[in-house]
Amino acid sequence: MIWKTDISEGKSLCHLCGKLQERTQDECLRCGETLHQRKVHSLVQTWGYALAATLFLIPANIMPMMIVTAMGNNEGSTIMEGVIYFFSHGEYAIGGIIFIASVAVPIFKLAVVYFLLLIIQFKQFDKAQTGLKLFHIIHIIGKWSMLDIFVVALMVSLVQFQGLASIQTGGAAIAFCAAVVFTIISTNTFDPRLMFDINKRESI
Amino acid sequence: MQKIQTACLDCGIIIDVSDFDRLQQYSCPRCHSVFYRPGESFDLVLVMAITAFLFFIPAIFLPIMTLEIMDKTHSVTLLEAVLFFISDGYFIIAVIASAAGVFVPLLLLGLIMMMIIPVKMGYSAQRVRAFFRLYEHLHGWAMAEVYLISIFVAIVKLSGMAKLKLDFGLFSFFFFLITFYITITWFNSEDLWTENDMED
Repeated sequence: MIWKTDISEGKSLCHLCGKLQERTQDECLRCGETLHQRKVHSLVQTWGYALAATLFLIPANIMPMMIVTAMGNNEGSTIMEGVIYFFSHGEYAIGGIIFIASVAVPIFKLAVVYFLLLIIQFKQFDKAQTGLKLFHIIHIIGKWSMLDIFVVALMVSLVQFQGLASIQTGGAAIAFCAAVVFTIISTNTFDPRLMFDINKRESI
Repeated sequence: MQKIQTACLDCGIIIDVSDFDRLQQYSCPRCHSVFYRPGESFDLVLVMAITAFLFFIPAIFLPIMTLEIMDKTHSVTLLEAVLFFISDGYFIIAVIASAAGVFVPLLLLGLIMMMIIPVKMGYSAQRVRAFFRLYEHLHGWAMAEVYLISIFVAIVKLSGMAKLKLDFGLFSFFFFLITFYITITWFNSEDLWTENDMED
């Protein structure tokens, strides 16, 4: 079955308010947003942000996330050491949440972004439905990887006892923050309709 | 009657929505993703937004917790926790964390009120379209629910190294985040335009 799409009908859809209008229109008649039939330079931007996020994940896992100074001795801990700390103290629920949010989710998200990009690059149009399901999943779970960043930011500002105890952010915090933000931007710049456009062109 | 058409944001096919009921959820016939989700009425959303806003005031000015290490006590308000970074070096993380957890949710609440109140007073939704665009661009960056869980994680981590007492500010912040989350899920920004269309 051949579906009517916005490209075949010469229309473009406003991605903010959902009004369908003629292709010649530059600005949405209803909300005033700039109109494009597909997101501009979607593939290039998504590749760029996904690669940047992958590079930032490496220092994020090697360097310490935060440095606790208590009674004169410094102690840094990486993301995985933080997870192990909770598991060894019997806090399985919180250890599990942190492991999922800051180790499993970022890697899964980047894997999905690469999968989606490869679907388009190699024209594997029969995988578009699976790809779209995964795309919806990473949209929902995406923000949860910020959890560890928020914890560090809160702890640093809460624990400030002059001379006795203080917490400082380590290098991993900024790298991890960059990795998560770039992954979120890469899912925002990705246009899932490109997967279905290939489908249409090949089937006709 | 004129045909009203829209297109699926996820796969691009054209869907005829002339005889759709706005109280039901619709999904795309080709890619099965939801493209219309009904929202609650604007009155309910407005009440919830005001509730959230009222919870925000004590949440930011009252102390959220009191820490005690070796007979030294230290109580922190959320405003202090946020402003602390300005004098300190961790500027980027602080700005991102406090924006996503506190200020973007607050801004979104303000925008929702600034959109609903003029429309309720009978003005055309076209006049608030700048607010609408800002709202749509920002609302993926509000991470209130993540911030809430991160507070619990921080409490568990801190309880290992200091004695701490939770204060009223934390509870009102908790309620602020919950009511904010309800407001965001209830509010469907597309209803702004359909309400406007009916008046024409």
